[in-house]
Amino acid sequence: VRSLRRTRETLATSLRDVSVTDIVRRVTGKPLTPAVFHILLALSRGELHGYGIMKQVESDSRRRVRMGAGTLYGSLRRMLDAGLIRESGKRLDPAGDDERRIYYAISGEGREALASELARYEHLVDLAREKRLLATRPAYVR
Amino acid sequence: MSGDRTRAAYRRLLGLYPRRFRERFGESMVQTFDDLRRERRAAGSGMLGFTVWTFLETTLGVVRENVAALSRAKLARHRRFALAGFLLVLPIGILLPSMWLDIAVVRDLLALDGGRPNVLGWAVIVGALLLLPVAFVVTLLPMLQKGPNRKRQLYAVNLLVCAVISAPMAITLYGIGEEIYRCEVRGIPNCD
Repeated sequence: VRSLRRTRETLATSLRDVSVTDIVRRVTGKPLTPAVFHILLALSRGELHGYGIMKQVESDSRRRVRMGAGTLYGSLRRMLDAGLIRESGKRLDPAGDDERRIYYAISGEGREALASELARYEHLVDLAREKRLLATRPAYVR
Repeated sequence: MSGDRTRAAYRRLLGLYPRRFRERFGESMVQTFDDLRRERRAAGSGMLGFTVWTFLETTLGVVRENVAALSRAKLARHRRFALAGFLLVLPIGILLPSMWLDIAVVRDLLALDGGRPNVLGWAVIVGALLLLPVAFVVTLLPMLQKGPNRKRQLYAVNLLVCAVISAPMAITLYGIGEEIYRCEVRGIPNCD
């Protein structure tokens, strides 16, 4: 059943004109790119516009990941095509200027992809702790 | 560069994105660029580094999106055949000038230093030569087959690729023919 579901998903995504890399990633469950992962993480807490995503990614990564507009909008295009996110409409940013902006929201498939990526990270962190490569609690928690 | 001129230059750079991408994200990208500039200005940070980095990063995005758009483009059937023909003729298209210009890497790899080529050399030369007629037929095929209107059609791009393929074909056929004539027909010793 899982295999049939994957085949159906593959066909559906290829019909949506997704790049081969995206299809391979989704079928084989390979890791998400850092940009895609951070965007999904940013959108998991609510709808954001492009600049909002940039700022949220910077804050989530403690300014270690800084995305330019080229990377951000290229990733958004691929993620929209792959059905990981969707446009949720154009509206004013209450904290911004008087320009209407396109907001993006995470989709069900996006949440699944994010959950599976986080589970992969969790497994790796557990493994690192088991092998005593990491302290039992992260330094910033102490 | 003043703020307005930088913004105008950024807009022009965005014009290099594929049309579909530009229509979808162009306006949002300009808004994001304005937001980032406002933020830098408010923080009292320098604009030069930010501007250079943004332009470079966006240029990379332009290249990436154009490559992606090209790879997604659906070519017409006759163009796919022309492209296949062109790709098939590439090995000899690279090999002949390399031999003629005596490029060291190719000469050493295939042992083309006047003596007999090595196994790889033979495989590459024979393979590339055999691909020539295949490339010619593949390119010609859409013009030989009848279309849905039961008529054959001429396609300029296929004719052009056929002409491109004909050049190395003519050169190699002339070379082989000339050697056969000298060595076999006229019986000149040590003629090759």
